Amino acid sequence: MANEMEFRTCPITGKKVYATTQNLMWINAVTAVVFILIGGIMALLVALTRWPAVHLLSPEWFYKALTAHGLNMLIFWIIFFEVAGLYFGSSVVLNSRLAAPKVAWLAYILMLVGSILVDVMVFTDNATVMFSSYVPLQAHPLYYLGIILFAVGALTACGIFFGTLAIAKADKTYEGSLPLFTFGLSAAAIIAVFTLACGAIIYIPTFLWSLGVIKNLDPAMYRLLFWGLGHSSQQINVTAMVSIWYLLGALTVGAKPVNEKICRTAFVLYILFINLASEHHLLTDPTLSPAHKVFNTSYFLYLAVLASMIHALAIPMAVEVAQRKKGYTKGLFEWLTKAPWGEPGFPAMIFSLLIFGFIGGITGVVYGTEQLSIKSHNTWAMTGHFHATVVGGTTLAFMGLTYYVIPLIFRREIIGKKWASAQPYVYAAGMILLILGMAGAGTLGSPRRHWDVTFADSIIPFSFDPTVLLFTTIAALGGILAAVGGAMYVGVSVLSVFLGRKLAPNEAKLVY
Amino acid sequence: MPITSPETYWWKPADKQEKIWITVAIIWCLILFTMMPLWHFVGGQNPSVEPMKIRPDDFEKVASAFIEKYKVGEEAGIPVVKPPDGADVYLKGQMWNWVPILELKKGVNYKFHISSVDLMHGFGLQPLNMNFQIVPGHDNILNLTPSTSGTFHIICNEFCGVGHHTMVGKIVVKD
Amino acid sequence: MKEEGKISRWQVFYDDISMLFVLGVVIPTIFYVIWGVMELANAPTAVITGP
Repeated sequence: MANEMEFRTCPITGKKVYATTQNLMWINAVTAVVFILIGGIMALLVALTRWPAVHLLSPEWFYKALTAHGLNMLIFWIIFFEVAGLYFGSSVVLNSRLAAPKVAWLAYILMLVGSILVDVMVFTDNATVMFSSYVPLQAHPLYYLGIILFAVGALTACGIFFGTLAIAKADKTYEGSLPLFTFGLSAAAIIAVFTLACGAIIYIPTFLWSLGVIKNLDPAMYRLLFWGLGHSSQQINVTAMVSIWYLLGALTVGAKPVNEKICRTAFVLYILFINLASEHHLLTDPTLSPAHKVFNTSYFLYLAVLASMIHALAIPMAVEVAQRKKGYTKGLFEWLTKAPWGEPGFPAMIFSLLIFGFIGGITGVVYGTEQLSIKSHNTWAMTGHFHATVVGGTTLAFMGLTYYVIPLIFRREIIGKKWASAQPYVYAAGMILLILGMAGAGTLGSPRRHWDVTFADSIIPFSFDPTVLLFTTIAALGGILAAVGGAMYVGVSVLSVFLGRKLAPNEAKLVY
Repeated sequence: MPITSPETYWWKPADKQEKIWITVAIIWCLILFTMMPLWHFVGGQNPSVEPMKIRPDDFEKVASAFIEKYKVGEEAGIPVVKPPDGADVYLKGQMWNWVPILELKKGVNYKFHISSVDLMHGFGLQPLNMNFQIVPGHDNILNLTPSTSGTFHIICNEFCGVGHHTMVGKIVVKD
Repeated sequence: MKEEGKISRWQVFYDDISMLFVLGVVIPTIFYVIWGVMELANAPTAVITGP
């Protein structure tokens, strides 16, 4: 293990990069990419099965692959990457040593063991329960134990982040307020603590129930608390993604926040209210009162939506101001047309912003009203919504950032720069097709988590409007295109990290 | 830069453009918020929730009694039931059927009790595309008045095991 | 509005991560978790009579 105090200075940003931090970021980011590879293969299999013309897998394998896809993507890929981001945002950005690196390694091991346990249980047919694992559908106890270990590890990583903030403050490694990026990540970490606490409250009894210690678990209670974990974990992603937009804006065009007060207010609104949105899943549930539904589902007067609206102004504004300062002032849009579209970070940021905001955000707010939830609950349109937020939004932003993390932090030259530059375009195009296909079919009633929308094996015959099949095909083609984009990402990042030319100590450039 | 600390005093008034944007956004948020309870309580667009737990075996009992009492036939092994006007209707979700098949009259109000006797199910009424979560142990009570005649299907849209995709039920509405 | 030499109280509040942490955990715990758990726990159970 490297000496805790050993560091180098980044030639571009002037930040101190501690060797311990660098190693921890490396291992968490590489593990994340392994999980996106597993999740991506499952994604392709699922897309090829939902496409009626191919209908690849058997039902047993389809539901298994779908469970694995959800867990590997929504939890393992994203949270491992976020942990790397948390160490970057605290230790590197604040020029501070990392708090308790040994505990950080322990956190990593807990998360790794947890995720391997879960994957083993899923692939050995012991946990075909979907991402949500709704009680009373029971998985093997080791599945729940795996989730618990992973959550404890992730919670520990959040603790390391807060610990590092405290050390940086005590050592005075920065002056005044936290940098905006770190402030945004603090918001994400705070949201994560609530999320993981909900996970602990519900998964520990569920684990005991699977062992037979507890006899009865109320399925409605499980849903309430599970979505405190399941939906809020996506709010961590939203917040981390927005922070990364600010960072990518800075790395690609030198954008800096126009008004710190406004940007930070938006993050504070996220901290206070965004977790109430877990209610969106429960709008068509029996038992919960309309008051609870309306209050929570509106994120307390839609104040978290207001926060997203603020970011939607602040980020493009920062980019425009930076570009205009460089002299791109002709007409209304020269700042945009002369942006570095050939560098992967810029299109990744812009597509992430557009897909998240225009498709994911709007569908989310629409489907999340108590009335329209009846028309969209459990339909494929829902799947479309969260692919726009978590995949087209978060994952694409993380992908864009990777192309900068590799040269700046891991000190390797990118292999296949042209592939890297094309990747965000391919991925975004695939995702948009996928999302529109899902939303179209779902609006006509096509269900999510379903092996056969032609209902060929049903005792009572039923078939959808044939338009559903058209939309399903569009989604499948989009899924295949996105899988190609995903493969490009995994290929470029794995090759670069392991085989890329090692950069000399003072060598680094940001522009492609 | 977002990765460096801001200047000492960063609490500064917003620009005019920022103020306009935020004001419009706040107004829009308040309109959205106001409309949700209005559609519920004034517009009648949502079922008013009647909280009621029911043990799965109890639900099985009442549903069976209901089926026995009003059964008029059988289709593909599933009982066809024609409840009298205004009756309480029991619809049971189980792996992997919706039982029974219902024959209803147009324009008559029925009080539906939908629950599950095993896993979670998803009630998806097609082609209207109206969806409700069906939770074992809880009675999802819906007051329904069919306003058009014809055949409607209920699919299951919550994963309930390997036969999930075959789970289809039926409601026939007659004039 | 800031005066020279005095940092706005809002700025101090935003810099106080531990206070934001407490609020960020307490608000959803009260409004989402506790309120929801109470409703579910207090729902009546149907009493079935007869056969």
